[in-house]
Amino acid sequence: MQTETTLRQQIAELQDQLDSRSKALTQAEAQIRLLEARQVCLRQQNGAEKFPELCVLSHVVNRTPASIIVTDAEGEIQYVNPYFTKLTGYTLSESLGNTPRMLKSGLNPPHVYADLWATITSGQQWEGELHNCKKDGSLYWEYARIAPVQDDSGGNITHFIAVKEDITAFKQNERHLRESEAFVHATLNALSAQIAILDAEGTIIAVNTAWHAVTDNTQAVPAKTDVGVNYLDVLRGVDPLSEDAVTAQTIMRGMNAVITGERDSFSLEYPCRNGQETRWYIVRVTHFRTGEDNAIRVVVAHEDITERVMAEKMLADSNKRLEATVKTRTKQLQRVNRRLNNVSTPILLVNAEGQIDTTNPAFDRRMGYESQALLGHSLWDIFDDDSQPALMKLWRTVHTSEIPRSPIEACLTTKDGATFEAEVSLSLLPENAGHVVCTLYDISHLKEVERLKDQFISVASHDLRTPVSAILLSASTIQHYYDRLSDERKREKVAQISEQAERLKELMTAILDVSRFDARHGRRGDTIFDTGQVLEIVANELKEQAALKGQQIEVEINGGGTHIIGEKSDITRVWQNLLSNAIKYTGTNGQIKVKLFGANETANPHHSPELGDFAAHLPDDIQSGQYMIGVISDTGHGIPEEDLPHLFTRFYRGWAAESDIKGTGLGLALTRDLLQLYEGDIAVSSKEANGATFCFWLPAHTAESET
Amino acid sequence: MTRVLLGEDNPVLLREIAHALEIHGYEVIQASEGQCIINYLSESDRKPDIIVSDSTLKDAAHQPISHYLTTSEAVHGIPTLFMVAFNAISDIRSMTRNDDYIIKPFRTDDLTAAIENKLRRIYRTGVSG
Repeated sequence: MQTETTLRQQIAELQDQLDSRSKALTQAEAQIRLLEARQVCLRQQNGAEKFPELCVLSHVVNRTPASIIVTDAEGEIQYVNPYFTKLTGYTLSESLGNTPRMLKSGLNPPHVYADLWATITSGQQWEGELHNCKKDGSLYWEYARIAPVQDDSGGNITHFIAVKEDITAFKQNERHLRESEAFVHATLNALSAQIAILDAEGTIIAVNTAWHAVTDNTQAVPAKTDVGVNYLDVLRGVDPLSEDAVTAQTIMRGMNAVITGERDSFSLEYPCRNGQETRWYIVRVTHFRTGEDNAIRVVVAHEDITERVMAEKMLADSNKRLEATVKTRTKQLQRVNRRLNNVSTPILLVNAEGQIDTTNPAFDRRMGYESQALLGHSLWDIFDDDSQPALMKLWRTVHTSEIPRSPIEACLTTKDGATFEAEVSLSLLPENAGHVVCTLYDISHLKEVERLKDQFISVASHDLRTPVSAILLSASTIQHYYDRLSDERKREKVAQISEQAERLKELMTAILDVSRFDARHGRRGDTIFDTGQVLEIVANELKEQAALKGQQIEVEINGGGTHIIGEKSDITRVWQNLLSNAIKYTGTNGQIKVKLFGANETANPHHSPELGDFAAHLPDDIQSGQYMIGVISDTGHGIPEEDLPHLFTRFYRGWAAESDIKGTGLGLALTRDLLQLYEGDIAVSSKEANGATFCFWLPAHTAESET
Repeated sequence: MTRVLLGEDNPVLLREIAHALEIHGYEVIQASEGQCIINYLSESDRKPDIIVSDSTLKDAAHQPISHYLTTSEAVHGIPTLFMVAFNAISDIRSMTRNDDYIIKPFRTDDLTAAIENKLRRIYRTGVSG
């Protein structure tokens, strides 16, 4: 817009110059005519010096900044002024005798010359633009006024006078202006923005093509707004109750501010609802000043930015979604981490190269390492050599096959050099670039149970086999050599058979007891009986057996509250096992003490001093008066410290397995199982070679506990 | 009379087996511990014709007697028959021939048959009491 205005301004200036030059030319022409008249007089009177005004005129002609050419009636050049020479390059002497045709460029259409000659030969003055050629071949434009000079008689044309203005620069400017205008118009019309130019009052003085094309779309540019309409009035006229009222008001105030110079420019993004659809526009208001009167012009451009706004909205939405997703993922990750940290199963995360990425606390605990101390180490490092081939095979299949592989059993070495057996599973994390989750199920305890079972089978088969061997031998001896054997020998053999059969029965009973207990599935009996009484019966039965080894059994029952509800045989078995163990593992002349504290007694803190060793094992509410406590101590072998933790494990015999003392490894396990069935438990304390003390407790059946 | 060096740590079995063999006319030297076997072989001039021993007996250093009986010079040339509990068969199979052991429990005649078999194979003559 700026360029257009400037050009318009330049055109106006040039027009002015042209007008003033034309005036000057007209005056010059008049003077030339006067000069000619004088020359005629001069020629007649022969004395130029007598006409000093001629000299003045000649001076004017010589100095005037326009080409002046005088030809005779035939068009032969009689005179050219210095400016002509300066402009065209032809000197006066070169020009004389020539015609103005020497200037022809061939660019003027023939009708121009025809018109020119027709006009001047008819005695009229011709004026027009000619595109001519200089001596050096370059082109120039001139504005020519050519007039005939007639003799005094009035009929005959004696000369032609041409006064020509060099308008090359003007023509160039004009062309530039036209180009610029065309450029500006084309540009404005090519824009999709709706553009209007207003004057200082707000009246629209120009609009581009787009303005008409889409005025209907926006309430801020109503359909009838066109050149000649006052835009401010249109905006003022928008229904104040319509939803576009605020937008219209804001645009109007913005425009006013630009018109008054309060602000340089103004812009506003506004929505436009059209039924269901909402489109977004931006209006930009700028201004410029015209060259002529420095008047302000305001440019208003509305542009549809719906797509941009939508794109921005979508971007914002997707950003929001992305943030939400990240948040969710973070939460999931934290949850997974928390779970990973809380599970008791050792778990490692390994990258595709087999390096440890993460370990969970359960793993660190099991392996005895500081938290994450194995990070970056190879997975293979933590496994024993024997486990490597199987592990390598599993690792390969996990990466090459989608079918989950069954776990392998492998051996690991902890930080302190101890080994433990684990079931190792690997699973690929599909979204995680070859990361593998390695889960270790500690199966040491299972292995230990398996080992104990093997040991039991071995012990049991040995223990069972010995009596069977003895029976077989004795029986076959009697069978084959009945006649050769003395009566005494025969009796001896039969006694042998009977004794060994007894031993077999004992073993079978122990094994059956255990399996029967398992088959009970936690069922108790419903008889009320006195455990103290059971103790006395059992002690009585075993006294004889103890006496054989020179041992004494001392029984002490303190206080009431020794009843329970259940199966009498269970408690009989508890006392039998504990007492017969004490007899078995105590040498000759040993002392066995059995104390039973009734529930009434345990309520007061003055317990037997033996209980001191069990403070850590007894239940917290031991002084609540609910529990009876039994304490059995002997003066026997005692139990090695390493055996203590396993003493109540089925089949575990510890050092006794290597000794001559017969046993199944089931007695104490069954004893504890029975006590736990009645919500009691048992603990042991022993110093090797210093006897052992067993302490059990049981909730007693009292009048209160019945209600 | 065939002389048997009998090793068995269970006193009941030791007595029963010894008695059964004696009835069969064998002379029986009883050893209740692995070390007794070693001591007898290294000290006594009256070498046994055959050693019959429980496979799980141990020497004083707690090494299985079976190892000593299959490798020692002192035993050289004396045939050995192991009495094996079923669960220990795999151990003994790895170091002896099939007819070198008898599985517990066994009857007296099974044992005497195994002893005669072994002696026949070693001495190519029946040695019977």
